[in-house]
Parts: sequence; structure tokens; C-alpha cells
Amino acid sequence: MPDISDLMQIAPLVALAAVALLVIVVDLMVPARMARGTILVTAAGGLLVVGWYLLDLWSQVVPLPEFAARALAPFGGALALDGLSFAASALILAAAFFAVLLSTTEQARDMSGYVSLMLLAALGMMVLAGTSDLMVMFVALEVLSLSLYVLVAFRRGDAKAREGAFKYFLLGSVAAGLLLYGFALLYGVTGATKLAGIAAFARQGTIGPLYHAGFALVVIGFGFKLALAPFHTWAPDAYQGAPAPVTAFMAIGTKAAAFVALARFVWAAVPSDPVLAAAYLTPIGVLAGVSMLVGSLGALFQTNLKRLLAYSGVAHAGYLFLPLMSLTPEAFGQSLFYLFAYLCMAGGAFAVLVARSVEAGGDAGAAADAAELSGWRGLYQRRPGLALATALFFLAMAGMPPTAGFTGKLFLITGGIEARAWWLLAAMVASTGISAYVYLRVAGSVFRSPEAEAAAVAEMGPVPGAHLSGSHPAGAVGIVAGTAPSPLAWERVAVGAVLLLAVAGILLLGLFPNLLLPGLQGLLPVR
Amino acid sequence: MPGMAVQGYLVLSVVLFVIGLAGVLVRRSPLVMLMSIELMWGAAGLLFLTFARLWAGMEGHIFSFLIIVVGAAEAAIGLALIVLIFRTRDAADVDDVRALRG
Amino acid sequence: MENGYWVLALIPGLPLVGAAANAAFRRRWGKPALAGTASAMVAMAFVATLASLVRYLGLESHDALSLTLWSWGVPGVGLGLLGDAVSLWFALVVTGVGLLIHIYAAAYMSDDPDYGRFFAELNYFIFAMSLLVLADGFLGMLVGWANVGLASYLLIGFWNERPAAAAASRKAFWVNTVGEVGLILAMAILWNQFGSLRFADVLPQAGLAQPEILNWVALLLLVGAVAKSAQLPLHVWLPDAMQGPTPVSALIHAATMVTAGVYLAVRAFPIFEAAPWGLTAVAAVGAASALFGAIVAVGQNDIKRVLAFSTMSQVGYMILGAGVGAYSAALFHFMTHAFFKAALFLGAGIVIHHFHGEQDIRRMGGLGKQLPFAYWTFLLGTLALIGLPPLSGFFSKDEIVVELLVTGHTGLWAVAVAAAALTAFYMTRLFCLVFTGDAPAKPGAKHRGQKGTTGHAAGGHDSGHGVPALESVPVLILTVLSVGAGVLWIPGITAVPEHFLGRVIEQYAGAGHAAAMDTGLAKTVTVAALMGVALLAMALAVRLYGPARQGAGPQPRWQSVLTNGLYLDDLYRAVIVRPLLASAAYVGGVIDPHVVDGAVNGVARLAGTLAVGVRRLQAGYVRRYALILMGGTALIVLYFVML
Repeated sequence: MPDISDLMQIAPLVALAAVALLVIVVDLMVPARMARGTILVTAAGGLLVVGWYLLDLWSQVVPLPEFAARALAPFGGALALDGLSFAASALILAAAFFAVLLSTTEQARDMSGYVSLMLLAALGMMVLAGTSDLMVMFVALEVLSLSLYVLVAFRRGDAKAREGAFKYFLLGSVAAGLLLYGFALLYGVTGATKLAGIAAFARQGTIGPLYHAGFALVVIGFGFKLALAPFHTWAPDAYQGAPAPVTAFMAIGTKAAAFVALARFVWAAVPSDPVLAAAYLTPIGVLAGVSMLVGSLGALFQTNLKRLLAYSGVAHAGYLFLPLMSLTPEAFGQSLFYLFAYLCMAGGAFAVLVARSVEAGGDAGAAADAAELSGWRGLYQRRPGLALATALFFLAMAGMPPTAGFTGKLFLITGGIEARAWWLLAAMVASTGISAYVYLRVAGSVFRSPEAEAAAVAEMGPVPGAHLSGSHPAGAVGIVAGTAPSPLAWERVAVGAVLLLAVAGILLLGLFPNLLLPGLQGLLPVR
Repeated sequence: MPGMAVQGYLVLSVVLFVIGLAGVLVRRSPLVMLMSIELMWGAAGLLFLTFARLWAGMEGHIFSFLIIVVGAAEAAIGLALIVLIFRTRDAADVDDVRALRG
Repeated sequence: MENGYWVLALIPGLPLVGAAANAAFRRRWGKPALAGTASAMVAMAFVATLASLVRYLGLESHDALSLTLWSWGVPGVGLGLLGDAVSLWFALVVTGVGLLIHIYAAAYMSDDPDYGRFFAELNYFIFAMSLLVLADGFLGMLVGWANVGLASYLLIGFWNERPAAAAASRKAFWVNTVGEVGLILAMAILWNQFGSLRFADVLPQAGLAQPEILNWVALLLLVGAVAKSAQLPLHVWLPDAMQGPTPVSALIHAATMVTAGVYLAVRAFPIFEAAPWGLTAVAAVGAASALFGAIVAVGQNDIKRVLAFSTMSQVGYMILGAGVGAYSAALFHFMTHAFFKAALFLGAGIVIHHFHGEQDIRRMGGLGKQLPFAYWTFLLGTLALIGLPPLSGFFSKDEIVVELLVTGHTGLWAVAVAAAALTAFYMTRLFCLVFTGDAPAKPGAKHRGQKGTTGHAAGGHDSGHGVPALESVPVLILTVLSVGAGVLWIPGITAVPEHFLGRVIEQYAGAGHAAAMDTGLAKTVTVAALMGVALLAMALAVRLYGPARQGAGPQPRWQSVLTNGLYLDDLYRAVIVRPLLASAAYVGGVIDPHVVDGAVNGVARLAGTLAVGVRRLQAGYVRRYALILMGGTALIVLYFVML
């Protein structure tokens, strides 16, 4: 039976669920004209409280003597509160905080529902990252997926949002079916739904084709959420359709949660026999390598920034697996460091996107225009600070020192070398080369004068689907002419805060990675 | 429980799962696709129940209940999305929905 | 080791401040204030370098100045500055030549509306470059390395409304990214092997690692060096980089940044020496590039492209020197080359201004009478580059080539001599075509590029009124240095570079090489060979392209026999010149654009094709997405079931 201490240990989760419900109550109680602000302040404040609970819990666990003991397992081991889940939860909370701040610009009519769903998705992600039971994993995955399906379609009257949500939903449900089938097979072979039981079987049991197939299906199910190629096809469409804050949250939060869940699962379920273990890791490495290449190639000619970031997210998801090929505790720290770096880089990039759509008027059409890269030319002339931040975010993604993108990549490569994953490193080299071109195109375009547009389009080479870039001139004219309605100042403050946090994060993690590194060492007990 | 019986359920589950997969791939009606997905989930649920009998434990039963509950929520959201998209169209054909691509 | 010598931080720090100030006040300040701030910052950085040098000379022989900025909490990883002979040697040139070019640019760019941005980027370059050479570990070096790449990108694309400039800047950045990835991989291996990235930790124990691992490290470092220093086969960005303003070409793409590979090869030489294939690979790359650049330069007609390929060739000499253990000679050649190549580029800038943006040397001529200043400085720079005594290029190039013979690399020696002959030929050709003969009827009648191009490049100089003082003084100083720098190392009398740089180089055992030939004999042979081929090639080039090239007209037969030197000319033409020009045309017109550049472009095209394929797959049909998903699933499940 769960006792009171178990409840204390899930305080962050309970608090997050409570905040998610509270925003709906607040919406009912507060006068309509103040509702938006109150909801957002409640949500942001609630996230800070949850973060405080999390830190408090973490500080209780860290001083425990043996590392293996530095993990709490409330509810009979259904949750695993170890370093890995704390770090991932902090990452997810930060992403949710960014997303809520960016959402101040959203004009959703049902703001409380929107924010509540976002917080519930965060709850699902936190649970997913912090559980070692297949049942809880499944429920958490669905909590976050169902919330995100709705969030992607949240813009009323936006056909693209609906389409993105529909595709995401359909493919997501298929992937969930595959995942469930994998869970079922593993349960059938091992008789356990807890990772500990599966791990015990993987050490001693006779491993047959059913176990192999179950493992494969689970990897595919999580690979889908991570948008690993070839399971990435939903990502560009869903990212483009969704409101930018939701896209940011999906890109960062889902990636972190699914990666941690997959890593935890792989950690437990890979057999101890070295030959078999290598055979298990090989297809994961292939998925990662293909993702790196497909992601960077898909981004090469993109003119829509959301799609570009979606493809770049595919590539980044592949990078995360470089150190994992060695299955050492250090590997998790290296991957998580990169996730923190990605939080700042992608969060910043999406914040710039939101700032641009605010500048353009803030409605759905303006937001769609803001994602078109052609409208970014000459940003430096109008908003030098924003342009420099954009350049920083994209150069960081390209791995430019001394930014977090560089240090993160250095750790990943070090991990990859320790794992002796040479061909995966080769894939990363190729991917980095291609995506350097992609990111440079974005970072460079903000410094281009708008007049150079025609020439630049002509030299950009084959761009299939010119239909993708059809709708921008009106928006661009509006920006230049300054006819945009001036939005409330506090929206700008909120977006500016995200930008500042992201810039600070990129520079701090780039220059002083030791701020974070010790906290990410030895996240899991040795296998 | 005799092994033969387990294998029978196993085969049935695989058949259901593959029918579901094939349905998603070949049918163009969003509703039929949704039903096919439910079939896949159902196949997984059946597998859990089979193994629950085999292991004589409760986990499989609980899991299959979770699948039913979550599946219901999933279907609700799926139907809502389908209505949102296709109520303004004459025919419910998923191949018409391709404004996002590239 | 004297730690905490804070003056070192001023060398990169002040230009960074200058860059920030220029960027912040680029609209508010006037042009003199912008250029003045930028130049003053570089001047103070130069003074700081001199101060560090004085302090360094006062230390014990194997001591060095250092300054720890911060660490990562991991031992051996962090950012710090190191002032030893090698880094100060580079810093002197970077800040010194940098200062002169800042002053020159203040006049040269005076008509550009984006004056402040130019100086911000130029100062930023000085910051990044001095960080590169002063860093005390691979990490800091890479930070500088990537930032000079970014500065180079920004400055090549300074006139980014020109598509050619924008494309050239992207190409340069892309190639440099390839090099950086090589460096990052090498660093990761070093960290894995040695647990540190500081030079002081890694280099002394470089020999302890496994040879095959060291081979990989050396190869990856060499990839970085080759990309940055425009060596074969990654030189493709350098000729295109001439799209940048001429002061940029002089500073970044001739004097300093392109020699970062030389710095790396010399700095990390214990790794290259310990790796079985290390030095061989370095020397091979250097020799191939020296020859290749010289051959292609013969066939170029754009004044800046001739100089660009010449830079590639000369940096090849330095890399070649580093590859045979002639580290001091390589660095000495780096310094003299910085002087005369910067002088030549700045001279070329004056020439281009004079012809209103014309860069084709076939449409120039007769400048000697109109611009005597440019004539004499360019002549001295040319002679220094060719390596005639007593100009500086003679001593530095000679040291490298002699070392080739002393260490028994006879084949490489022949390549170096051949490249020297070609150098003499193409530089004489360039000089004759530009400065001798008759002036073109209408200077600059044909304007190149788009509208706006000539507005920038041609500036507002009246071609009749000589050269502004801000432009002429730096050129004059650089010319004096190119003439006189040789006194630093006159064989048998002075050997400043060897003694100074030896403080660092001799720290590591194994730096000595068995002499395959007596030094005195080698010197005699080399000097004779170099002088012989250079004079012959110059004579040939003067005959072909000299003052007599035009207006020859129909002549009496007896006179033509004389002018033709008893038809010796025809013999030369048939035996030497035709094959030479043909090979230059072949290498410059076929191999370089189609094979080397073509390989780079081919990779780009392949990536483009694949990218189009990826986007075709993403056709919008959700059922196709499901098919892709299930295809991947089927493959993976099949793999696992087959286990």
C-alpha cells in the first residue's frame, strides 16, 4: 500500500496536475477581461512551484551515500525517481515554462483549455521520463500524446493545424499500437511489466524471437515519438501546423521524455551477452544514423522555418544516440547535456519565431508568414538584437564554439568515441556538414538586405514545391510598413524573457559546462 | 493451461494486428482507418489477456483495462479531428488532406 | 611558467572591444571615429604583444607566459592563454600587419556606406585570430578557429548584395566547417586518450599513445589545417574568397588566417612526429599544394586570383617545411610572406582602384608611368615573393628548400624548385602585364559585376591623383619589411627565428633529424638551383609579356631575327612556354574547376539530389507516411526476429 511518504515523493507531479486543473477553475472565477493574464500567470507560477518541489526532492536524494540508493521508488517501483528522471523533469519543466511564456502571444479563445492541456502534456512527459513500469509508461505516453494531438489542432479555423493534428494522431495511434504490441510480447516472455523484472530476464533468461520482436517494437514506438527516421514523417507536418509555442514544447519536451524512456528501457532490456547486446544496439545506431542524414537533408532546401526546425530536430534526435552506443552511465549525462543545450537552441529559435509573428500582428496568418524564411531578410536592419540572437541560436545548432551547441556536440562525440561507434560518427560528420549549410542560410539571411531576395532565391537551386512559399508578401509588407497593431507590452516582455534565458543558457553552457556537468554524472546505477 | 490454447490466441492476435495494419495502409476512409487502429490496440489487449492467463498474474488484466480506457479517449479525439477536417468536404478521403508536405 | 600575465588578455580583448564599439556606434559615429577606434584597438593590441614579447624574452629558456581565464571544472579543459615563442611570433604578425591593413582600409573603404560594420568585422577577426594563436589548448584554439571562420565568412560576403560574394562566403564557411569537424573529432580522440586538451599536457606525452590512434589524430588535424590553409584538395574556397574587399584579402586570405594551418602543424608537431604517417602526409600535402597553386597561377588573368593561387602555393611551402621538421623556417617564411603578400595585395587594391574596379590583367598595362609608387612597391614585393637576394623571401624560402635537401627529401626538393620557377614566371608575367607596356585606351572601360559593385570597388579616387597617404604609408612599411626582414636570418650571421622559436621547438625530444647531406653543400646547390630557375623564368616572362609585347608590328626580317633572339624565342616557346601554358590551362581550366572543385560541387549536388528525394517522400499523403513507418518497422522487426 502506498503510504504518506510515497505521496510526498510525487509532490511535483501532483502539483503539476493541480495547476493544470487550477487554470480551468481560474478561468471560471475571474472576469473575462482578466482571464487570459490570470491563467498565464497561474500557469507560469505553478510551474515555478513545481520546479521548487522538484529541486527539494532532488536535494533529498543527492546526499544519499551509495549511488544505487540515490533513487526513490514510490508506489512499489512504479515510478523511478533517480538522477535521470530529475534531470529530465527539470528539462521538461523548463520547456513547459518557455512554452507558457511564449503562449502569451497566442490568441486562443479557450485559453484555459490550451494552457491546461499544455500542463497535462508536461505531466505526461515527466511521468514518462520517471517511470520504470511499462503500464505507467503507456499511460504517460498517451497522456502526453492525446494532449498534444488537441494542442496541435488548437487554432480555430486553421486547416493546416487540423491537418497536422490529424496526421500526427493517425500515425501516433499506429505507433502506439506497435508499442503496445511490443509491451505485450515482452510481458508474455518475461511475465513482468516492471523494467527490473525485464532486466532480470535479460540477464538470465533464454532470449528468443518473441523477446527480440517485443524489443524491436518498443524501440520503434519510442523512436516515433522521438521522430527518428524513418518514423519522422509526422514531424514536419505536425510542427508546421501547430502554434509555435506548442511546436517548441513538442520539439523539446517530447524529445527529452521519449529519449529518457527509451534509454531507460534499452538500459534494462538489452541482454547481458555482449554479442547479443551489440546486435541489439546496431539497429538503434542505424536508426540514429539515418535520422542524422535524413534530418539534415530534409532541412537543406526548406523555406519554412518550422519545417526546417522539425527536420533539424530529427537530426538532433539522431545525435543523442552517439554516446548511448556504449551503454555506460556517463553516456546518459552526455546525451542529457545535449538535450539541455537543445532546449536553449530550439527554445530560442522558436522564441524568435514567436517574436516575429508578434511583430507581424499576432494572428494566425501572420504567424504562418513569420515561419517563411524569405520574410526574415533584413531583420538586422529592423531589429538588430533579434537578428543577432537568431544568428546565435542557429550558429549554436551548427556547433559553433563557444556555444552550448559546440560543447554538447563535443561531449556527444567523446561519448561516441568511447563507444567506438565509428560509422555513427561518420554519419554525424556528414550530417554536420550538410546542416552547417542549412543553419548558415538562416543565420545569414537575417543580415541580408531584403532587396537581395530575388538574386538569392535564384541561386538557391532546386526548390521542389514552390507552393510552400506562396503566402508571404502581404505579411512582409505589413512588417516593413509598420502597420502591425501594437500588442500588449507584457507579451513582448514574456517573449523577451525566453529569448534572454535561451541566449544566457547557450553562452553559459558553452563557456561553463561545469555548471551542469556534475549534476549529470552517474544518472543511473551501473548495470 | 495447455500450450496449444495459448498459441491459438497468439495467432489470432497476430492476425487481428496485421488486419489492422493493412487497414491503415489500404483504406482511404478516415473512419475505417480509425477502426483499423482500434483493431491493432485490441490485438495487443488480447495478447495481454492471453499472457495474463499464462502467467496467472494481474498485470496483464490491468494493462488490458488501461488499453480499453485510453483507447476510448483516443477514439474520441480521433473522431473529433475527423469531423473537424471532413465536415466541410464532400468525400471523406484522407488522400485529399495534403496541404502540408515537402 | 609565469601564470597570470594579464597583458596577454589585452591582445584578443581590445580588438573585441573595438568590434563591439564599431558595431554599436556604426550609425552614430563618423568615419574617422570608427576607423580610429578600430585601428587604435589593434595598435594597443600590438603594443601588448610587444610588451609580452619583452617579458617573455626575460624568462628562463623553457618558460612561457600564461593566463588561465577559466576552467570547465574538468582538469585540463578550459580556456587559457599561452604566450610562448610560437604564439607571440604569430601574434606579432597578426596585430602588426593587422594594424597596417586597418589603416589602409580606413582610406580604401572610405566610400562604403557600411563603414562601421566593416571595421567591426575586421576587429572581430583580429580578436578571433589572436585567440587562435594565443590559446593554451586545443579547445581555445578551436574557439578561435571557428570564429576566424565566421569572420572570414562575414568579410568575404561583406558586399552581400552581390550573389557571387554571398555564394563565395558560404562556400568558404562550408569548407571550414569540414575542417572544424575534423578538429573536433581529433580533440575528442585526444581527450579520450590523454584526459586533457591543454598543449602542455598533451604534447609532451604525444608519443605514448598507440600509433594508429595518433595516425587518426594527425590525419584529422591535417584535415582542419588543409581546410583553413586552402591546401589541396580543400583550397576551392580561396580563389572565390577574393570576392571580399581587397584589404580583407590581404589580411585574412593572404597574411594571417590562411596560415592557421601552418600554426597548427607547428604547434602540434609532436603529434605529427609521433604519428607514423603524420609528417609524411603533411609534407605531401604541402608539396602538392605548392606546385598546384603555382601551376594554376600561371594561367589566371584576374589579378587577385593570381595572388590567391600564389598564396596557396606559398602556404604550401610553409606546410612543406613543417612536414620535414623545418619548423623555424616555416614560421619565418610565414612572417616574410605576410609582409610581401600583404604589400602585393594592397598594391593590387591600388591598381584596381586606379582601373575603376577592373581586375583583368590583360586589360591593364603601362601603370609604371602613371603610378610610380605602386610600380616600385609592387616590384619589390614581386621580387621578394620570387625570392631574389637580398630580399626577405630569398632567405625564408631558401631555408625551407635547403632543409628539404638536408633531410634527404630529394623529390620534394625538386618539386619545391619547380614551384619556385613557376612562381618567378607568373609573378613576372603579372608585373609586366600590369605595369609595363602601353596603357589601355580607356582604363576600366568595361566595368565588371553588377550595379553597386564598381561603386564600392572603384571608390572615389581620381586615377590621376596618385595614392592617398593612408594607403601608401602601410604599403611602404610593408615593402620595407619585405625587403629587409631577411636580416633576421642571414645564414651564418644571424638566426633570430631559429633561436627564438627554438625555445619552444627544442622542448620536445625527437625534433632533430639525421642529416642526409652536408648543410653547406645543400645550401650551395639549392641557392644555385633556385636562382638559376628564377632568373631563367623571369627572363622568359619578360620576353613574353614585357614592354615589347605590344606594338611589335611587322618588322624587317633582319630586325626580327635580332629581336627574336636568333629565334631562340621560338625554341623557348615550343619547348617550355607552350607546354607550360597548356598545363596551366589544363590544371587551372580542367582539373581545378572540374575535378577538385567539381568533387566539392559534386558532393553538394549529391546532397541536393538526396534532399529533393527526402522532400519527395514527404508528399503529404498520410497513408504514404504510414507506409514508410511500417516499412521501417518491418525491416527492424525482421532483423530482430532473424537474430
